Amino acid sequence: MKTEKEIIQVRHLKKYFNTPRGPLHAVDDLSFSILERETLGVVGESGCGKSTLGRAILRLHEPTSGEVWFNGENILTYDKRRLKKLRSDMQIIFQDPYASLNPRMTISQAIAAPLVIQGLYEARDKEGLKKKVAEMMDLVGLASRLVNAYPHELDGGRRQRIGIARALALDPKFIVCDEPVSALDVSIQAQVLNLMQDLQEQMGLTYLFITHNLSVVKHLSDSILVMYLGQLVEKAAPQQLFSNPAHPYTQALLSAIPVPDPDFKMKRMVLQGELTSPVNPHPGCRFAKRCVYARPECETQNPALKEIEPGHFAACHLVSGKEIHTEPTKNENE
Amino acid sequence: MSNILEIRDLAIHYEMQDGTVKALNGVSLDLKEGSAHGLVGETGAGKTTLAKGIIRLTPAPYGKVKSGQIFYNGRDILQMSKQELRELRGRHISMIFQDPMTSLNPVLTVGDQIGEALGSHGRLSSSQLHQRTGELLQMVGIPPERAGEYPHQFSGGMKQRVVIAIALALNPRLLIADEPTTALDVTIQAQVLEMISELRKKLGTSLLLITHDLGVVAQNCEYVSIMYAGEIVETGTVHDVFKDRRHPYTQGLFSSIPNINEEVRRLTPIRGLMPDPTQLPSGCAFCERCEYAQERCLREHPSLYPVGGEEGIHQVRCFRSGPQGKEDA
Repeated sequence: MKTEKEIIQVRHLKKYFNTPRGPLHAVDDLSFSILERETLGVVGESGCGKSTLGRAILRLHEPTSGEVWFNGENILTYDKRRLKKLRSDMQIIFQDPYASLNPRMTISQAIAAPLVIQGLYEARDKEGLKKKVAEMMDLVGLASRLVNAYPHELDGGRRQRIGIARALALDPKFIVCDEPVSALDVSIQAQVLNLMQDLQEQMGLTYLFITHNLSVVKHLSDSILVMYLGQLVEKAAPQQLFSNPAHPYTQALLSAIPVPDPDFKMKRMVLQGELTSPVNPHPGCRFAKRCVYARPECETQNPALKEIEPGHFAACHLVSGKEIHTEPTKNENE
Repeated sequence: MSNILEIRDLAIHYEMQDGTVKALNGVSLDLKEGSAHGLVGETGAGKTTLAKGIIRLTPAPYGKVKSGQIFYNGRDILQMSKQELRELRGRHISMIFQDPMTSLNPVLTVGDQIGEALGSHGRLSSSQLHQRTGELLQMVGIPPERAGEYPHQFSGGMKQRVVIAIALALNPRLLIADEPTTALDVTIQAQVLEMISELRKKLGTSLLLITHDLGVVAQNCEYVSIMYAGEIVETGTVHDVFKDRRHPYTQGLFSSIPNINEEVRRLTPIRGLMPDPTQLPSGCAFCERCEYAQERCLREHPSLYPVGGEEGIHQVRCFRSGPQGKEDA
């Protein structure tokens, strides 16, 4: 059941990293919101800032400026103590199940750790923890005989299930999924994606789903955000985005997906050049240098985000629509 | 069209301390001159073992070629002397490895690395070398002035172009590309694949393309073989295999991937996991995960049965496609 409540609102979020050559604009003035129980897919190429975005929302990277509203409060104003409490509500599933698990912890220790850290269970409450771990393992489809296994004994799919169980153990409301299936084989990928969909329905979860795989993002998102060099270039519902991509970058991205059908002849829009550097970017559209439609003003003026049709936003000088500076929100806390 | 490469019953095992990994178990494959043949499978299916086996790069001492022959223009590569192999690699068959980040030498300039491939195989003067290096860089879309730069000064896509330039330096007849675009973004993948296909057209190179991406095969190959647990389970023209999927594993692979042009609420994954390559079942390797599995599948190992197809080369390793399969199924 979907509600219209916005659980997360991100406003003018910026995350710059200092480098010897100047500030690197990893996330540059992003504003958007996520509805409760929905999935917002974030797509873009490596280096476009999608992982930084996910981490900045959770304050795993401290944002440079901006606001992140969660349940009506700006969590960027939270102190350490309140932030720790908040961690139970906001969790993350990491990309690489080979690197994100402690090799010296058994499955049960790995799943129990967040429960103890957050004070939901006491470390000496062995029986209670055992029950909860068994419950979580059952939830994500891990056989109970594996309870004392170490990560190296398991394949990637099972390891990622541990990552999911860990994130869900605290009964969170919002989960950042940072490329959770990229390291997995396709047949295993489908198992994990189905599991994540089921859990979302069962537990009423909201996902920020970061991936570079456009087929996956189309499959499970309610709304998709396309990023290019730290900026939002287009945001729309999957149907709108795939049938009517407005931004030239989105068009090129979609045309580059190899379709597994030999009768389908792709009309590839092969992009020239590669991602430019997000260090000290020049004003103007960041995509202009690779864009086939680029005009003089693209090189000098930042394109504003425009609403082309209801719910479909794009930042390009060539599209026409109502200019907006922040996505309209229904938030009364301002 | 003649075959440039004919692999017959190739088996390669790795003898490790804790058991024998049966990576490749009797693979036969024909590669038509000038064509592009896709090799699809998941991690551990034996794709890379096969590719390395073809140019005799099976890691020693634990990698052992147990049986088989690999004919390149009628000569068995497995019987070649060191001298002959040296002649074969690079000039006749060359290979692009998966990860461009690690397949270049970080302390040599890109130009030197291309020159190395040229120099060790031909007798070129230094000015000829320099000129040819520039031509090759130009061919893969890199300005020749950058020949003096080091790999770390290039992006991932450009490094992969350098690797391709090295592989094509001696105009090989056959290019083996092991997941050439897996580490790259989609737009860069499109650039690299486009470039490989244009170069192939120009130079007439045959291609063995190893990938786990069915889309890449559909858009770039004419023939395809699907591998599972060290065997080919289905092979034919891309049209045969993609449009008339016969093997349950092939069917499972397709239903596991979200299709961009179709609306599916839930994916249908293949249940279970690939069998442990140290303990392969005596029957069909896929039977544990197969929804059609019958008693016979547990006991007997199916062979590749011909099922016709566009060019009459569509073959499937499943009893359901065999002579008695129709009554059973």
